[in-house]
Amino acid sequence: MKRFILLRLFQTIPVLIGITFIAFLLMMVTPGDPAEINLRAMMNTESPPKEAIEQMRMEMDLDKPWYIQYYSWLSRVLHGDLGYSYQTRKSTVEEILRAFPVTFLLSSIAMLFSIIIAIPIGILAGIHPNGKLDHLSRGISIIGLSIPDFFLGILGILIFSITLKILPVAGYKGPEYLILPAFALSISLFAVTMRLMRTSMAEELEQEYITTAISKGLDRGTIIRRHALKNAIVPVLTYMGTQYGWLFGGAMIIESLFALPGMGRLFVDAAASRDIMVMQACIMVFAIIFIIINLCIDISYYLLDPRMRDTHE
Amino acid sequence: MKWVKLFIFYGCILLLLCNVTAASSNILNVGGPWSPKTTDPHIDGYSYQRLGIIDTLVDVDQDAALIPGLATNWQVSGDQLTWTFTLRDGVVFHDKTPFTAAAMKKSLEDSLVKSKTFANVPIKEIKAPSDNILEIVLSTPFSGLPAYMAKGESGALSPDCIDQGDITRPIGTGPFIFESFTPKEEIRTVKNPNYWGKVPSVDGVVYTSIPDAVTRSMMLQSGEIDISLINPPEVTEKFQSMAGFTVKDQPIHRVRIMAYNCEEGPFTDKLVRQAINYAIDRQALVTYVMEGVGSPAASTFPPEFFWANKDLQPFPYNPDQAKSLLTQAGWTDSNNDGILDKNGEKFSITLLTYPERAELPPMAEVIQDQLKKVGIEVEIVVVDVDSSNARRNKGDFDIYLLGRGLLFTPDPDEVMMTDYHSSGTSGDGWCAYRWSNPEVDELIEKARGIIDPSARKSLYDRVQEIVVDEAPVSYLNYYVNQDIYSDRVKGYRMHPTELSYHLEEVSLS
Repeated sequence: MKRFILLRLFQTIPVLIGITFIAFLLMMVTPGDPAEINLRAMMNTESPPKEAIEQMRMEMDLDKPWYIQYYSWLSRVLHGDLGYSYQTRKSTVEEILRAFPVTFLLSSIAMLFSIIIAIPIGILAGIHPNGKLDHLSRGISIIGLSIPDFFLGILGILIFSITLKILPVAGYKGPEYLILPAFALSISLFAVTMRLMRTSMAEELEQEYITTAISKGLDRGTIIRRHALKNAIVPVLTYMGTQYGWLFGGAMIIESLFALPGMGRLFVDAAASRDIMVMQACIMVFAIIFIIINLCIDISYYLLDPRMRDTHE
Repeated sequence: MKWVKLFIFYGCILLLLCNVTAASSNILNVGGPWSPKTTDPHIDGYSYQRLGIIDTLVDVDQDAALIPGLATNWQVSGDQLTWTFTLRDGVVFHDKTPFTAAAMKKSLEDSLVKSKTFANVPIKEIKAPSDNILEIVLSTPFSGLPAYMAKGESGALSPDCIDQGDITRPIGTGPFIFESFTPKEEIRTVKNPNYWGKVPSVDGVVYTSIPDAVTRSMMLQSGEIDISLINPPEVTEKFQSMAGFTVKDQPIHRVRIMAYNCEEGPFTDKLVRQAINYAIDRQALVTYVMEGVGSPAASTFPPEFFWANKDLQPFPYNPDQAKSLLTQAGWTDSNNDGILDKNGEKFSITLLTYPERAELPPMAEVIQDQLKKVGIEVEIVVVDVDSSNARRNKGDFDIYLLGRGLLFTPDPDEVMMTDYHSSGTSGDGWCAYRWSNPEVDELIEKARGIIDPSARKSLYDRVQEIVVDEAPVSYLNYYVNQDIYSDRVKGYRMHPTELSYHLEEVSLS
């Protein structure tokens, strides 16, 4: 177990190097002097003196060849120094720390929605293929997949905020402000998860070992809970895991629609105003989230599927 | 049925979480697209100025002309190098310290360091010879100085506030006192009962930043906000007929123009440029692209503005006149293919524009169609705003379609210098390209040294007349801001240069 996790952690290192390099390249190819941007913030002035900029450039190794620049930038990043925002003159870390919890909560609630709703329905539909619930869930999935999330968001606002007046329209002043956006965000994930769970469950129930279990006289509930579900849920977990990463980075439209101050909006604003260091930081956060999720998926495989344990030990 | 129970359980939790607070009685809720970058007005002052937290020495009235603000009057010395501002008596900052010339000097000196607004203003020294006299000494004469003293970045902040260095609580003199700021979310203010001007009727203002206009309109409907700022026509259209809401229009300091390449290609010929002026149906652009919001433009400033030459009229749509001017310029359709030619060369041109202002690409298509009717073939190139400007600066275009802001500083000098003076048109920029006129140069330079606004205006009137006749650019239409507010709101007015929301004049019923 330990060895497996260590091995997987070790394997993420080249990926991390690749991502940091891409983020670093962004700074190289975008106009704007990072030394000057940092100094503007640190000295709180529009035009820092030339000598100070020169000094800063030397400290940041910006006068050196690119590989030394990269090394020096990477070591600054590892020390938590991601530079300053050109726009707000605040440290980039501060900006990220403000936006991260919002998106984290938003995508986690969206995830929770789809787990609570999609998995039970998917399982039931899979147990009774072509039953009433199966048809209903198929209908919901098709609708959910074809409606864009922002449209569903607007629809939700019209129903719950303007007509029923039980939820606020937009902004971020409390947890209730996340319900509608999380619901809108969860819909496409929810639709696919439900279908996947259904198919996977139905397929699993046709396997020979299930027939054996039935003929052995095990009751249906036990077969589904103890045998079929464990195997059927593996592909669903993979899908949901990778989708969590997408939810995280893909919340831009929903965050703008619902005026939530999260990572998506931070990234869009930074891109629009060419705020390089904030963009860099956002890219790295998105990438790291993906890596962590993939790691978690692998570990959950390991726990769920004994065959995986054999190949690694 | 276990999962049904689970469903109901979670449903109940969700409902418990939802306790939407009703809008409190006398707090004004405003929603707009922007969010201030910082809490330091000397870095980025417009939000704090608009919300009435800070005041400036000079104010701007409904005609975009300068009027007294914290300074009751100002004059310049004979050599035009020393500007003397007489400060208003009895003004106090929100922290109760008196507003004096020494405080203003300290505040302005902070602005000069922190803000890029004053980079081209030749300020040499600021002096405070007495409590209510402030002197600004320049290194070269500059008639635009008072206009810069109307910019938010020059706003008066209390000495204690400046001593914070990195200002997190702006303490100004305005009708509203800063309470809190959450980035990308909201600014809260409370009323200043000791304001020197009109004391606000509302107890406070909450400004919420909502980037999406559709979301803002829905918050207006649900009562979460009372005023929704800057709405596109597709949103306002719905509210025009809806009971309980008012849509207000305000022409602002921004005009859509087509700038011609006066260095190379067919538009080096003045007759051709004039012909285009007649070939464009300006009203159709407003009606079909802007959904009727806006008005055809006659010159660079909207007629509501003090600086506009009110004698100028928008060009009428007259394709026959356009064709005869083009014939006069030697462009005829000799091979009958529907496209004009001259010396064997087709009249085929490139129209450059950018998508960041969403209405420009559709407008380009209508223009393409209109020019085709007089026999001009137009290829539209839409690239992002920076790339389009880089192409323009290299001369890689025939017509550049753009939206041009005019009074970022409420004084015409800046825009005249960069857009029409030969020093501006010969370099990188946005407006007239490689066009110059010695009389225009002379008039603009002369106007820089004249202090009396009406005398200056007569010079700028003549400049506008020459530019319209020479047509290095064609003026299409003006931008109009549309705000929507609920019937609770009384006394709301919009500002032509967007320097203030005048929320102190608003009351809630």
